[in-house]
Amino acid sequence: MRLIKTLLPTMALLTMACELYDNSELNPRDIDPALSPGLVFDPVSNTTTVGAAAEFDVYVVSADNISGIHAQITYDANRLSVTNVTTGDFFSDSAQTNTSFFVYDDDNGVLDINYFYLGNEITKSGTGKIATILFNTKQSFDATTLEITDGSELVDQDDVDIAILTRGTATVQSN
Amino acid sequence: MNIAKYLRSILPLAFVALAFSQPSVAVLDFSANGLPQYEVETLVERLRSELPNTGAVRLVDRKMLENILKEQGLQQSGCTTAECSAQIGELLGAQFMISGSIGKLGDSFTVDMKMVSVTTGGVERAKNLTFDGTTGGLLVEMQILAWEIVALKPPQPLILKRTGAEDGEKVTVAIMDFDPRGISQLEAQTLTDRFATEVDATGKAILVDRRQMMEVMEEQGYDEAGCTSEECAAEVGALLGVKFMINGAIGKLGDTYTIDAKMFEVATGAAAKTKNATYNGPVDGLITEIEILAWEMMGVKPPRALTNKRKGTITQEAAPAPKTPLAAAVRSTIIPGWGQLYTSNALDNEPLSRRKALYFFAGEMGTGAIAYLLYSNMKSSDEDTKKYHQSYLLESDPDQINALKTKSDDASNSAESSKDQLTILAYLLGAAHLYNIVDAYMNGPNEDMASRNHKKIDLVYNPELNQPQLRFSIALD
Repeated sequence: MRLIKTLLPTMALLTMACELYDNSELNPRDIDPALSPGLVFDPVSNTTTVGAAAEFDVYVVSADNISGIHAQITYDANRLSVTNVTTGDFFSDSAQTNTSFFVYDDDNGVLDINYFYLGNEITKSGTGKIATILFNTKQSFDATTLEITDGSELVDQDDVDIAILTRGTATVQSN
Repeated sequence: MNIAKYLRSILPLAFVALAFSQPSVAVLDFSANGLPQYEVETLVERLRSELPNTGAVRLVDRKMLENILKEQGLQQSGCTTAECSAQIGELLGAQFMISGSIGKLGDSFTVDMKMVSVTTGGVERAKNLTFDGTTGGLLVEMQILAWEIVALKPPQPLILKRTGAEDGEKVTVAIMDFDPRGISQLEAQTLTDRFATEVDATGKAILVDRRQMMEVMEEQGYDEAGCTSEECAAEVGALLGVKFMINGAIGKLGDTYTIDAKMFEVATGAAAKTKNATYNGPVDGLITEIEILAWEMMGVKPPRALTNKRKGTITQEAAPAPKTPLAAAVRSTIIPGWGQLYTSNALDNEPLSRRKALYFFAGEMGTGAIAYLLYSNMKSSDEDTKKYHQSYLLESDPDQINALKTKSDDASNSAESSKDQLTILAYLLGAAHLYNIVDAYMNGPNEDMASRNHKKIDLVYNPELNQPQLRFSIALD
């Protein structure tokens, strides 16, 4: 009996000790070059409780010479409401003035993020954060999806559309 | 070669000469009074079979006796007078004739027999017996009578058999006076007597009478005080025909008394039980202690009345537990090879078990070391996987993302590979360990092995020759 009592925890410890780290989670910004540029959420899922906030960053990935971004996000207005939106830093590392404004319709669950350089002399390439959104959960639910719609746009300095090849989604769970 | 040839020719002649030097005796069927004839025939047959064992007479073949009686038209059981016996004896060429009767009176059996000299026609010796018991007991009595009718003392095992010692329930035991150390001989004898009384009271042993033991020792020229060694005790035990001997010592150190008692088998010399106690208290409490020790020695729980009488402080050391295959298996479970080493120690450093102990220990330790290296490698790779992956999740630069992902995947593959190898090694180690446990159990110490491993020369009691002998044995397997 004593032997069993000693052996069982040892076996359990050894089994636990052999559990390996799971590195299958993907970086939302890790997208195939053939499918860039893109607009994605980070993280791609967030679990929260009723009345608590769920925070998501919105990234532009592998953009090439863009001057403005319009990201249109839809959400379930019965379950979520936008609490706050703050500007990211994608256009902030330049001497050129940039600006942003956000429009959200909590009745229909649509949020428009507009972020661009003032003036048409400059462009930016690469990956960066364009905004951070705080959602408030109104009720308990299994999952609801945030989507970046095809109404979103990337434009160059001449206001010419650049095709967005990847549009990300994210899920919110509320317990 | 010539000597052997010579002996081969001479020895049979010597045996024949020896056989014919013994007086011949014929045993007639006894008459039955109050019990069936077949029972009487069985009892007389036992008498017949025991007579040659005495070595004093040569038994005339029963078949020959029957043929002659048939030729002469005589009935065995009808021949009860000395004259008739002598007449038949003459026809048989026997020197002595034994005849008699066996009767039953209530619950008692009576045996009357006489040995008639054929040459003189007179009764040479007569024996009678009244026996209260079963016919089974009467068989032993017939064997004893066989010795007594030829004027010989029955052997000790036969006398012990008469007491019922061979029923299996009880063992025959003789107790040597405990060796006095720091106390007087008289005190030691008194305590030994009390010990013997209690051994008898357990009902687990048939004790040889002290007087009888002294007689045997005197006959053999032993002084009891001088017979303290196990060899001497075993020799005395063999002469007494007992299965076990108990000897020991009672010592005094300051105010502390020590009692050491050992019961060993006479035939093998192997210790059957060892008991000892250290007692600190008034002297009269020592009597209680030795009484309790007697019960424990016989493997019986001492009566409560006795334990309640205990005084002083008692430290009792249990006899070392007998070594068992299970104990070997448990040891091998804890440390590989320990069970085999335990077996080797139990069998006087038996080399095969010792070698196996080394192989199991070294093998499992070696495998364990490799397993540890693999485990360290796996843990290190796993930590790298985590580190690179967490950096990867935070990274925004595509080149860095790719680089970190590659590093994380490489580290993860390395950890997985180590884990796979570790799993195989763990199975191997588990199988080896299991084999080590099974081996320890299957080849663990047991009585057969112990006896196989006994000394090649030892002192044993030969019941046929009724004497202790030196035994020389060689294992043939």
